[in-house]
Amino acid sequence: MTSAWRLGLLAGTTGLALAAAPARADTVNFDLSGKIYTKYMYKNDNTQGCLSMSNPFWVDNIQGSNGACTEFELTMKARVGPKVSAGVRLQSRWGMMWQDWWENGDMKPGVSDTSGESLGMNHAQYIKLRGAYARLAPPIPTVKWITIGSTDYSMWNEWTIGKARYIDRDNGSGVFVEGELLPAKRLSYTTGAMALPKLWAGPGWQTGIPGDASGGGGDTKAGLYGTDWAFAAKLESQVSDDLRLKLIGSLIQDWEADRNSPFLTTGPSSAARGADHSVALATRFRGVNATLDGAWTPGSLEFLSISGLAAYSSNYVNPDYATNMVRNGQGFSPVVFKVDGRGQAVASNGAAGKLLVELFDPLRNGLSAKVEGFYIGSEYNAIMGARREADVLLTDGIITGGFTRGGQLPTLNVANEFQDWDEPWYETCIGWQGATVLLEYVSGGLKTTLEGTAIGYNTNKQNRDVSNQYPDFLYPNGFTDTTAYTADADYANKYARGKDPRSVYARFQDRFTSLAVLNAQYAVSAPGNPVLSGKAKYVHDSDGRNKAFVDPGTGQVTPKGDDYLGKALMFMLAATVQPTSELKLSAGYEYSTWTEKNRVGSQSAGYYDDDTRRHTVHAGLNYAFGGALLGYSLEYFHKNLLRQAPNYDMVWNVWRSKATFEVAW
Amino acid sequence: MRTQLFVGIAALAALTGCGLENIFGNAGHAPYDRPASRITGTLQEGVPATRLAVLDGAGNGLEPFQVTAGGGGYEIRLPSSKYAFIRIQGRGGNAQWRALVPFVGEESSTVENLDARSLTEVLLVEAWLGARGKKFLQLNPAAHLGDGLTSGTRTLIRRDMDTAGTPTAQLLGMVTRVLTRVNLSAGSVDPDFFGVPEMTGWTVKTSPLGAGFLTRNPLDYDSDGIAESDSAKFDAKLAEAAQRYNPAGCADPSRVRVLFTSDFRANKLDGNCGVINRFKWAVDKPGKSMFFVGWVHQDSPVQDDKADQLLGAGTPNMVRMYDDGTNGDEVAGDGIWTVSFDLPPGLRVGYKYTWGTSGAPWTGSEEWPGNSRLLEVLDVGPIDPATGQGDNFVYRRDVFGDEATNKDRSNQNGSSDKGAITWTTDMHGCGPEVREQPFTDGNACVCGTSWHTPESVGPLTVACTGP
Repeated sequence: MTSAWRLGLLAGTTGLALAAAPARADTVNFDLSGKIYTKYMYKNDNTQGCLSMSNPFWVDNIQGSNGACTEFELTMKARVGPKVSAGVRLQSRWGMMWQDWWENGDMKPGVSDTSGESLGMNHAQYIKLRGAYARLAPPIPTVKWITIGSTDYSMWNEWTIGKARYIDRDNGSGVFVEGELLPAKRLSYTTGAMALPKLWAGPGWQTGIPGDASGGGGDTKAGLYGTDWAFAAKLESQVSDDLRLKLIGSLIQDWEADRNSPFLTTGPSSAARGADHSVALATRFRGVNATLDGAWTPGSLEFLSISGLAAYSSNYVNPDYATNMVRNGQGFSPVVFKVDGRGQAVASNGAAGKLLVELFDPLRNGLSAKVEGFYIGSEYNAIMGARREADVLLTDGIITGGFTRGGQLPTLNVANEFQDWDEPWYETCIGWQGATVLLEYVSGGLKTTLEGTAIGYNTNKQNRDVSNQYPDFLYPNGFTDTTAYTADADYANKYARGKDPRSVYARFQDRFTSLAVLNAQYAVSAPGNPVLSGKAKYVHDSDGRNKAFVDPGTGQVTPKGDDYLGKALMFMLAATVQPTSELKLSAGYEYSTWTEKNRVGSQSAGYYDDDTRRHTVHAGLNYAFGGALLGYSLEYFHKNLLRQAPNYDMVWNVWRSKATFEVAW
Repeated sequence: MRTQLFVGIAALAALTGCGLENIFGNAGHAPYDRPASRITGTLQEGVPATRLAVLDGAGNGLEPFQVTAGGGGYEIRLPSSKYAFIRIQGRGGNAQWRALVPFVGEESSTVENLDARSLTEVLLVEAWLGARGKKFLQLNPAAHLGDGLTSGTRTLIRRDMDTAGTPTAQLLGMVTRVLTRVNLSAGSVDPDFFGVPEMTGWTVKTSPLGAGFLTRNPLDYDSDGIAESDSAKFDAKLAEAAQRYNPAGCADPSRVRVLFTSDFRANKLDGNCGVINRFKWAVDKPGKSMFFVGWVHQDSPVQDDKADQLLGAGTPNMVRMYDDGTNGDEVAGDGIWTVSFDLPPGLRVGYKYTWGTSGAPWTGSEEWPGNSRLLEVLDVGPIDPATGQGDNFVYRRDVFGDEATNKDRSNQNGSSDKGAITWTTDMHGCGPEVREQPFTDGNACVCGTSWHTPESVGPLTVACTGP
């Protein structure tokens, strides 16, 4: 063999070997990042844990207000090739306190033994796979990206399938296709098929978790959730430079095995019976949501923006496969169990719409205005809509306070849980109709907004069936005190915290609410860049409830005397100062008072008045150094709840703090 | 064109998988009907579905899940099960109809008209039971139905109905004439006719015809040209005709009725007087119920394939037991599960109980693994001293999970001797473990003092060809 032959053979072999080498991610294309997050909590009570409020129903053992906890997150992203990427997040389980020495995942229910090995995996800091995904851009016409795996569902909207709340941010997985049918964003599309969460997206906050023999744990009428998916599609068009339109539709399909399939019934599995070793499926729940929204921002009128949205929802529950939680769950249900006049289950349908007109400093004097009209039907419900960390209305709403932020969402599935005391609160806005006018004035270091909102209720109705069809969440009365809110077992309202933020329906309702909000912020030109801010808010909430009592004997109509009238007033002042570029300090005071006539009680037992006053003092600091961030908040509130006899008065003297420290690399 | 093709392929590719198969496969699926034991028949026009009722063998109401009526007919759907000697009752105005359903099985249907012939039949059987102090529960469908030609109570009654001059034909004529007085708009609280006859011996104590009805509305129901103003002739004819039959049937010389009962109540005692842990081997889960699994034992002198299949042929969780007051179960919901079989005498059976779901495997459902219970099918008690015959029952009471009584190999009886039992082993001095025994309720370590003859079901009989 000549040298030339040898060289040729070597070159050929090497070439083949190179050609056959699989694609691989080298370190250049490999991104690795980590983060340590530590939280310290204090409260002058006897609870222990690192989460102010966990699941209020199935109370778990991570809720508590005294302790320190740490979690670690490792994120890996790989650019496999120019058109293929992948990622994964490894996250330690939240819940183990620094004090939980030796906890190894053993679970001994009801026992906290001296071995320190009894609290289960919630306290074991195990590393869990989260957020695994791959994205590819295959050469298929119109297709830009295909994503397989975890995502936060943020490609849809709050009225259909909402962005998952932060703690669920990559728990959801599916297959998504994004593409462009027309160039220059004239028409683009997104489709998605998403595995339904077994836990919350359906009647009874689940999609078919089997219940035990006593009826607890899950739904005794159901037991199949691996077949359940949601599907959604979005068409988006930048029709012109001024006009953008977006159409979104979603279908949530919860199946159960048709229990009368011949193969499942008690007879022999004979062909004569049609037992063909297959099982048909029956719908347990079907939710359809659709929105069309658009924004018009005319180039010729730069100060003007008009946006609007129209929405429709339809939710059908099959009572053969879903336990009626209105009837059997004390009115706690994220869906309506609607029936027709013959008692047959029918879909609960609703429409919604809103229109927002914004004028941005049209007179060049710093004054802007926003006007929003909204109409949300009495039965509009986005079962998988955003559950928190979003806001669909311009108004400040009813639930927010001074230090407490929040928003309004068009779902009965609002989630004010798995959160700390300093986090926002959300209320459902199903049934709201009305308008908001918001004026904003900016001048120099001053920024002020003034809001006025009137809210009528499409849910106003007399003698609504809240026993079998419409969930009332047991506590439909009174302003919700988010500051003093506690999650007691089975949602017991033993500290008179007000209405459940999910409560939409009442047996008798004739309600109207108006509110005014003034916000002001002033940046002072002084060392430390101090900023002064203030907020004042007034809410007037009236509910005629049972409008009249008709004497069955005489037919005489007399007022029932059960009218609710709530007046809430709140002032808040706060100041922040930044003495160095790394350090920011804040302090503030809030005073809230609300008087409520006929706040608590019932039609049969009568109603009683309440009078509430609350002082809240707040201080905090933030410190950033290199890649490390430290935050600390300290709060004290004193609350007096003065209740009409025979109820006794209550008082709160609560100190609580929360510190966070995170470092990322 | 090519682009559109690509788009189509891409769209289809995007649509496959991820749960869409279920939509494709089930979107047009109409839910299956609930499995039912269905009874249909003719019905007096104008009797509403709401006035139809079903009575079980003990006279208690059963809950159909669907009842329809109209157009001269009715349909009743009961939850799919085996029902014996239930009665369909229709009420309209001043009248009440009844029809006897000797048997309707799982996912099957039968036709029973609510008419004069059915009424006559049910009146005859009710009168016979009243006179003999027996219950519907104790009748045997096979004995009642017979072969449809020459044997069986129903066969004989219907033959007589069609034979002029027989008491039964005469009674049918009376019933037919009384039915001409049906007034559906009458607002009677109790029906004027036909109630359940109450008997004292062969004398009618309470007539099926309401006491005041004929007084107010004299009727020539026996067609002798004279209007009767009381029920005496009707009652006499009913008693006369009823004596012509034997609905209990005639003794079956070839088989005996065997009742297996499994005590599944908590904290019951095993053969060592120890408290039984029911879930030592079995796992409790929602939807579970008691099943029987048996087979013809290899030691059996009688080898019967049909009996083997009947017993479940050793396949677990196929033969369901009952604790709902039906199919021989004596008290609904008392934790004593029952199943019965008709087996040849002398057969030797291996068996055990499983707490499972239909078709589930052994693991997690059987009361204990690797062993079986034994039974020799011999009617050893109680013995009638007058005839020297047994009660035609073999009644076995076991406590679920008991490893110290009737467990064939690794028996836990005694503190240390983990022995086996044979066809003659007598561990507790109560007689061989493998045979019918008196029992003590909920306690397998104390001999029973009296024999038990169930009243929830009758002994095995065959159809008679005459009274």
